[in-house]
Amino acid sequence: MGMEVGLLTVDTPGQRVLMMGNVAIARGALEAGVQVATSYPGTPSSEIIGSLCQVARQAGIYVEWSTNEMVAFEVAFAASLAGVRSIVACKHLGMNWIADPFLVSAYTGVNGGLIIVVADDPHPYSSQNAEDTRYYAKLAKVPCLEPSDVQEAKDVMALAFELSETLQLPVMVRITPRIAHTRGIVVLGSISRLRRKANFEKDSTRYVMISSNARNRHAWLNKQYARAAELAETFQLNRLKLAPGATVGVIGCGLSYGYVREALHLLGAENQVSILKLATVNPLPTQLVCKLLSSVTTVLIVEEIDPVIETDIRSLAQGLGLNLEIRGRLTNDLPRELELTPDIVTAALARIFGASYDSNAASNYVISEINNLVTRRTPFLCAGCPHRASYYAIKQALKKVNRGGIVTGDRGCYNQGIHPPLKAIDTCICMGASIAMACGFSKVGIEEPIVAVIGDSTFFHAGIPALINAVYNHAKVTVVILDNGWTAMTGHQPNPATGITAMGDPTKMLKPEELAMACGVDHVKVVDPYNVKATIDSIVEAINHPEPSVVVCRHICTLQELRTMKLMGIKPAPYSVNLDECTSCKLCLFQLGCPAMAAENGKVKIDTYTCVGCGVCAQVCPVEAIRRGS
Amino acid sequence: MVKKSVDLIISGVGGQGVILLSTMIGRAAINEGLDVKIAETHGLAQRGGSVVSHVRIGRNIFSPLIPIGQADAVIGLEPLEAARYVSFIQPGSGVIIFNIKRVLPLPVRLGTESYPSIESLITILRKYSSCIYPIDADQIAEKVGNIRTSNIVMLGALAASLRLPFSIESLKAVVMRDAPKGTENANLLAFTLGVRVMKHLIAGRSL
Repeated sequence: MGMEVGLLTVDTPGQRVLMMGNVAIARGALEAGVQVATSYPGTPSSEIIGSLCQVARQAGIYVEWSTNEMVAFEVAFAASLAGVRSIVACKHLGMNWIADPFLVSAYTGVNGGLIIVVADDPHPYSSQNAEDTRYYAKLAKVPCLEPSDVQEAKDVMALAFELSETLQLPVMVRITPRIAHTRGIVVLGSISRLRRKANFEKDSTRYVMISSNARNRHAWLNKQYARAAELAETFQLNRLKLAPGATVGVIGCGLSYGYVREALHLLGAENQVSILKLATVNPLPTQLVCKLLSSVTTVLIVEEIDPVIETDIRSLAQGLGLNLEIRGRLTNDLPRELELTPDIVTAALARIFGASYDSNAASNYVISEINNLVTRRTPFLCAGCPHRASYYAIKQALKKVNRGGIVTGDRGCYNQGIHPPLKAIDTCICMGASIAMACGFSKVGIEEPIVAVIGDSTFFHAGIPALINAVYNHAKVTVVILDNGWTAMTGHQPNPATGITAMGDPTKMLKPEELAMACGVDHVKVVDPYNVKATIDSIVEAINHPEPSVVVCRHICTLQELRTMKLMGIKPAPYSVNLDECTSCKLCLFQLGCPAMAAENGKVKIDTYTCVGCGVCAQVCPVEAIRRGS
Repeated sequence: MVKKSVDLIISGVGGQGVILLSTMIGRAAINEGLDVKIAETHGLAQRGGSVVSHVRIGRNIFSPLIPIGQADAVIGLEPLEAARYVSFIQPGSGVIIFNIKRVLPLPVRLGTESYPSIESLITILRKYSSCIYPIDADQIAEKVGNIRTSNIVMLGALAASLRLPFSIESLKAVVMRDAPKGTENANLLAFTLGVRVMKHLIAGRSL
């Protein structure tokens, strides 16, 4: 992202630059005069706010990393009610958190434009599911726009703000990793210097959403939604191109339009198909869609994740009595899983033409040969990661207590603890679920110790209500808070444990142990997981405590520690195995699986380039054969 | 069908510089007024996962992803990672360049899985293409005196391996401009040595 951030504030309209989609969205927001931007980090959306916060002061806007997505939405929503333009960015799972206030915001309406940029993850690269957030737009009855490339990702922002203010409704902009993490050419526009003065005009009939107001606003919302459908007809990023005499039509939603163009090029069928490029995916521009439907006998609908538009179009065609073949995911022309690719779309189109497209038929056997040869490369905890030491300690503590044990996990780097050899967690569902699920397990008569692991950022995000629940309901659980001081998984954003804000201001550093005590937990301990014995002892003690207990395993994220050391000119002091003393038990390797270690000639070798000198392996070695230095 | 773009797959392990190389190529292309699309996988890149980037350069690029069998080259900063994405190259004529320095996946380090020999990888890759260029980029980078320049060695090798729609000099200028302060000369040397080693390989066609 580095240099691209510099491009966010240059006022050189017309300049062509190479920009990541997420940064282009940030640029689009600045060009449109955004004043407030909020988010909780989540791949693949993090760079939107991650880049904006670096130029916030220069641009004279307010940017924050909020404690969770719901809070982020509510902060931006209030800003919008006070008349200023604001955006919230999140990944699809964040949308689940936003859902509650979001659905009501459609009833109150907004004043300053309010945009929710949501990044879906079709074939989950970094998420626990693939969900199509366009259903939320339908649920809330708000417009949803999909840009088709990086340029449009910038351009759509100004249009979305205008639409939001015209309709007085929040507007969703939906992207996927192929927009978010694609770099493409962007022609810059000019940056808005206009700053509105915030002013909240009280109106209890709108902003106090008691049921009597909700009944009135329900009708208002339906009226606005109908108006949104009218505006969609002329939305400037929609484009219908009817090919003379064409019997086949294609609707390409957002990014999928690029795959459609590529497919038609590969098939040499560019002039044989009528195409509707669709940016307004909710509500649909029905007249525009009908123009296409009534001109062809077959239509293929290409959209990412679920057949949302396809279902709508089936209903539309049925209502109009149109007799045409509608193909897409519901007809298995496109797969129900996987991310779309040009190959998948080309094969679907070829089938419609009665042709076949197998890009690599001749070499399929080689592919399978290669797949047999190429081992998977799963991600893992970094060399020296404090979470590895914490997991080792939890496993050893459970062994000592000798009553089995269930470890509920949570969302963060530490879910890499699932992989061998650690295999340390038994569940991982969503933000905060570790503690609440531990409560559940403890209440159904399971005799085993129940340990919940949760990172600092996730604890602030969603762990606290669950911890209060544990105390309130006498759930006999041990919560291990893995406090590395950063939201590391998504690229090291600061959080309340870091002591700095998104805009770089120093702030009060919150300590999870103090919050745990305030939640009513009586047994709270803080340890450095690099001290293996003390950590094991603390966890054993916590497990033996008769009421909810908390152990905070605190050590700064290794990657951040290395950065600080580099700035101070300190080099890591790696460890090595004394081969004369090593008994080849390989306990260090099999218990920790540190990326600095590998089995070599029956013994374990530590790679001095990778080792950061945490010393955890030296404490695990039963014969003390691992020592600092070579 | 006329191919309308130069398509490159750049792959490696998180932290090796896949995204840096892709962006450098993109910047060189934009200087020539070309269209560029670079689709990256981020996600768990920082944590040692497999990283791939699709780089497309041409007059008017539609899809950010390269269709299977269309890439002009696969540049692997690690041998396994080159092999993993080889189905993207044009059978027969596609160029496969990889750094022979292995980064062992966790199961290999634990001894539960094995890492294929470079020879067996090459035997299979040959079924795809005759243009296979293994390079000891780490050894060259050590000679340069900065092991972290091995990815720039690979960039130089790429630039000399096929006809890119911009000159080697303009890519070199981007390398100089984008290199971290103080490492410009090391990176320039790494790039030049990469170009040289590839020219030798092509002349010798030793594989």
